[in-house]
Amino acid sequence: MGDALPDTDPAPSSGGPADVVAALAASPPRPPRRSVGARLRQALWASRLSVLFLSTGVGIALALIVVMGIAGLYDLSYVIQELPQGVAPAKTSLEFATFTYLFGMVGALGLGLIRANPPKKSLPLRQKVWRWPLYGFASGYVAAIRGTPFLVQMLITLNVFLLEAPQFAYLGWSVFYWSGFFALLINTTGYQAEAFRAGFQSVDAGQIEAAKAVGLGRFRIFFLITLPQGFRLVTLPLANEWISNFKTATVLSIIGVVELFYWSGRNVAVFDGKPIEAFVLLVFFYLIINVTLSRVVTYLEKVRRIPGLGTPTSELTMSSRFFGFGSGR
Amino acid sequence: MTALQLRGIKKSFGKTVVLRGVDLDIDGGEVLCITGPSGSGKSTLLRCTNLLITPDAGEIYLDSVRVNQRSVRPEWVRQKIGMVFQSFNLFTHLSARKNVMLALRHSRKVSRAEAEKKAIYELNRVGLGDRMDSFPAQLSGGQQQRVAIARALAMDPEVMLFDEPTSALDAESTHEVLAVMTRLAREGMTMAVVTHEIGFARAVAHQIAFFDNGLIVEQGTPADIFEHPQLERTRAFIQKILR
Repeated sequence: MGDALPDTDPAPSSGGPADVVAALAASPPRPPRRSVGARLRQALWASRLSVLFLSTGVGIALALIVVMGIAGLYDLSYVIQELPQGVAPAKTSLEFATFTYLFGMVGALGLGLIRANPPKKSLPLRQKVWRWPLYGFASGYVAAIRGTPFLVQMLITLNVFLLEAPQFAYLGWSVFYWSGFFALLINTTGYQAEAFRAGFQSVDAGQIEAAKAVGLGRFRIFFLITLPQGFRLVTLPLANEWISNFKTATVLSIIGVVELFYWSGRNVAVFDGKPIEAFVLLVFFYLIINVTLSRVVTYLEKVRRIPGLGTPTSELTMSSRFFGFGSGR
Repeated sequence: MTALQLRGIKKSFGKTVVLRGVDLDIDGGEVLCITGPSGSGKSTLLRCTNLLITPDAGEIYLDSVRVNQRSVRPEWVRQKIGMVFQSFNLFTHLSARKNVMLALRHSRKVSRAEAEKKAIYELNRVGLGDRMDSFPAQLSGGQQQRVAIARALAMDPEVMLFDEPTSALDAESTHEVLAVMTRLAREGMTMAVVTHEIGFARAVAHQIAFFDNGLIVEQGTPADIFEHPQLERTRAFIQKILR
């Protein structure tokens, strides 16, 4: 070995066991992990009403609606009186949107993974025989869901249920509720699969190679590297899909699911003869729920952010973005 | 004792022949520097060694055990061969400490506390004891590469492969990384280093292999290769990188 070694040595001393003890003692105590509930409460607090209304156009929109009511364009007192009645259908809407979304996520993860790894031509035949059909199924599924209106998907599902399992009624839900539920589930799975595919494909190939090089197997690489990184990359598209799913649920009113749209249309507009009030109520519920959710997601993205990964937070304020001047922060 | 033996390694991608039957021996505790023009197959050879690329033909022996055969799991081989990449390839969603711990915990099945101890030890060894909780994006290139070295070292590999570890770094970071590698070599680690750092190769390497067009065309001690190259091709290349 030569003796012209680089003269400075960035490593302190030899790094013996004593160093480890010293390093362990010196490393600052990490804050205890807070529970999910605590974090959610903090997120909700951070998205408190003032922020929510002042920093978005929603405040203006809601204020306009109230002003119109005060001006006598519609019956404001009626809207306020009907408001509590909307809580139950709003709950139904939320249930449909959330449960289909969560169950759909499981299938979408699988479909996204299949779509993110199209089988190569160089594969051995024994792999080709199952990889190609699998990829074909996943691609066909996504194409079919994204290429047809939800209304059609829902009616097909309903008719399949009515013909094949007309007695399908569990947990206090009729066959109409269940077919609506499954239609929404099938729909959101297709859209989420595309989001996950994009996420998995944007995970750096070099990191996958590095994970292989330290001896990790395929499944561990997926669960330890691809999934956690892919998930962070698709937070925004996924939040988008929940909101979209929540709004798509209005279509379920057609087959008699008593959710927000059904309630406002039938009970308020038809029975009470107050169509404008019905839409004011609808707008109110949808905006409150969706804006709160997107605020929470934005907040979580900010606090759970890892440097160098995911959507960067904008440094621009409203005024500097739109008018080119204003405070930097 | 021969730690790593390559016999007749061949690899082509489509119609491009990259390796044309490479033979190579690395003894335990020896440092081999591989140099040569880009596109000559140096990186491919390293990737074949830890089976990130499956060679088309040839045999790879690690401590006289043939590793490129069906009964040997590639994961097992890769745990014994550490690799450091040109582009660092740290896991961006994990802190430096967790980058080092990951493989220990999940491919070696070491307990969390043990893995943490080992990670702290290795990070101190590469001089990053104070940046353990930083994420890769918060570290400089040289620091990232040192974390990558610590990550590979944590697995107690028998051989370390370095694939142009300093090519993406500025002069100062290059120096940091080379200092760590020099110390490793002094401690007796078996290393195969693809590099154009002539100063490092001259000072640390026991052997230099000059690679051209998918073959080792000339091999010898640094003195042989740098002072008295036998081939005109080698001479021309050495002239270029020395300038």
